[in-house]
Amino acid sequence: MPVGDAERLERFTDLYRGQYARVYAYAVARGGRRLAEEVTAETFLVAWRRFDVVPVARPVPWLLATARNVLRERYREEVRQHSIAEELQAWVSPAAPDDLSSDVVERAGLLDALGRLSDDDRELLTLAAWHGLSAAEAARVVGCSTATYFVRLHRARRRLEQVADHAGTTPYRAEAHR
Amino acid sequence: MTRNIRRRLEAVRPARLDPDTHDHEGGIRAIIDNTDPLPTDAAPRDRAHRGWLLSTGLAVTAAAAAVTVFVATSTSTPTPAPAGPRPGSQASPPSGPATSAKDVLLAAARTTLRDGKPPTAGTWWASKREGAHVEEALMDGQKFTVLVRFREEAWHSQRAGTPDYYVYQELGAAPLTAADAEIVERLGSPSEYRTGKKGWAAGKDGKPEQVEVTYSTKPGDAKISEQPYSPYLLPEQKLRWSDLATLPADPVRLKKLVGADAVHDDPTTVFVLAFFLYSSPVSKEVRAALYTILSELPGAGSVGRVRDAKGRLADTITFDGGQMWYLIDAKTGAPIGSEVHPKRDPQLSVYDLRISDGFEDSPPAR
Repeated sequence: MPVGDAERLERFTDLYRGQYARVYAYAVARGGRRLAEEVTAETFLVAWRRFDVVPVARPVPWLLATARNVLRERYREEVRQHSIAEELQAWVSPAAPDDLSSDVVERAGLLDALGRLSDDDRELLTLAAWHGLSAAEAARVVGCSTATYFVRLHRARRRLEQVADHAGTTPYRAEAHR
Repeated sequence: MTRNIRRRLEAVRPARLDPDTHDHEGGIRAIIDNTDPLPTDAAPRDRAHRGWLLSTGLAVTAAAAAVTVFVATSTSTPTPAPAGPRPGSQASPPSGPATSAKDVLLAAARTTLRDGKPPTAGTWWASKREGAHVEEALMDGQKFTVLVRFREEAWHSQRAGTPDYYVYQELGAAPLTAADAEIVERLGSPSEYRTGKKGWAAGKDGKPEQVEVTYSTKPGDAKISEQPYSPYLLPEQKLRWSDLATLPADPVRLKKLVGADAVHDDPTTVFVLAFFLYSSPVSKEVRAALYTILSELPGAGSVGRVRDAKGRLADTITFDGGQMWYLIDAKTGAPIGSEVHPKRDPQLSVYDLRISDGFEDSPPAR
């Protein structure tokens, strides 16, 4: 194997080992566990083929944006919807059905409210909270400006608040926006 | 309840997001053994990913907007686009002498220093914007595209204990193109466009219910919502409104702040943050410094002078081949916002445009 190829493989291996779990988590949140492994594999295949354009220092926004495209381009929408519906149901199914402690109820309520939002709102709300992205990185994943991201995030938070309130879960206030 | 939504969401992150076990070596081997050299479209198509932004319409549906424009190649003066059925179609072809991005930005910095006024004070900093989004309608088996315009205002309280406000109003939908207008006419010019898609809305009892998404051709009511006060202009960067008065006007020091949340190697994110900060109550020296920072970014170009979707004369800054136009008011030197002009469909432009920014002492009128 030529030296350049060996170096490329070594760097790709580091990327794969370091970021597999993050791409997988995004794929689950966006498309459900049923599709996540395949989406993640496809995402890294794209990364391997186009390794020269993967940002070296901060590859995660690029990888998640690619996973997003993979989900959109490789699967029919109804397949993804079915898979994510199954996933959302699993989030609110309690591990111990008889456990009615306030933490468990609140957790189920918040996840249930999150599941009632649109896919895009849910994505906006979780890119930072679950996937650890900064505002600019999250904006890059969803394809908008950082300022627009703040506005959209603000709206998503408002909708989460409204849905949670109406669904009878623990009320909470929308945090300040922007 | 004191924890904010982000912290609450962090606390309920499902364990299902984590893979049970994974054979990394096997996964890598499967990939490198797949030597198919064909390029894939799944990778982001440009550094700011705007190609698929437009193809999916995902960003369009929220806060960005769309308008029809006409791009030509050589005219001597900016001219409005031909009249059509599109309510927002005021943008013009690029024109005027070719100017580099650096020249545009440094000229805007000079205009800002010459004409800028010191920030005043008030109870709220109100940022007013207009936009539209393109949506697909479906009526009687006929698909057509409509432009849904809206305005929004973000009122940021400058005093703890005084709430923020957010104002949103639909301004009415209209067919996007002449072909769409013909379809609408054949349908009897309905006052509401149906989509056949389901969305959540508040029902009669106030509870959310799934209803068909429709777009009215008439302006809707302005919805004003009260929001909790936040001391932060940029929460991720811990930049408070009260910090703005002491922001450094030295471009080197300022760049550390502006660049802190930018994506590595992506100058467009610096642009967005700089425009955002410029439109906040900062001194004219800080604003000029922001332009100086932008003038040093690599990869910027310009397609000349245009009229924006509101008909204002504007200079353009572009990246990555010119799909995204960052617009600077040719008269005042202030940032106007951005428009997207995809090469594959020059009639479609996504925009997010500033109408005004300034202090207010009375809350938005209800």
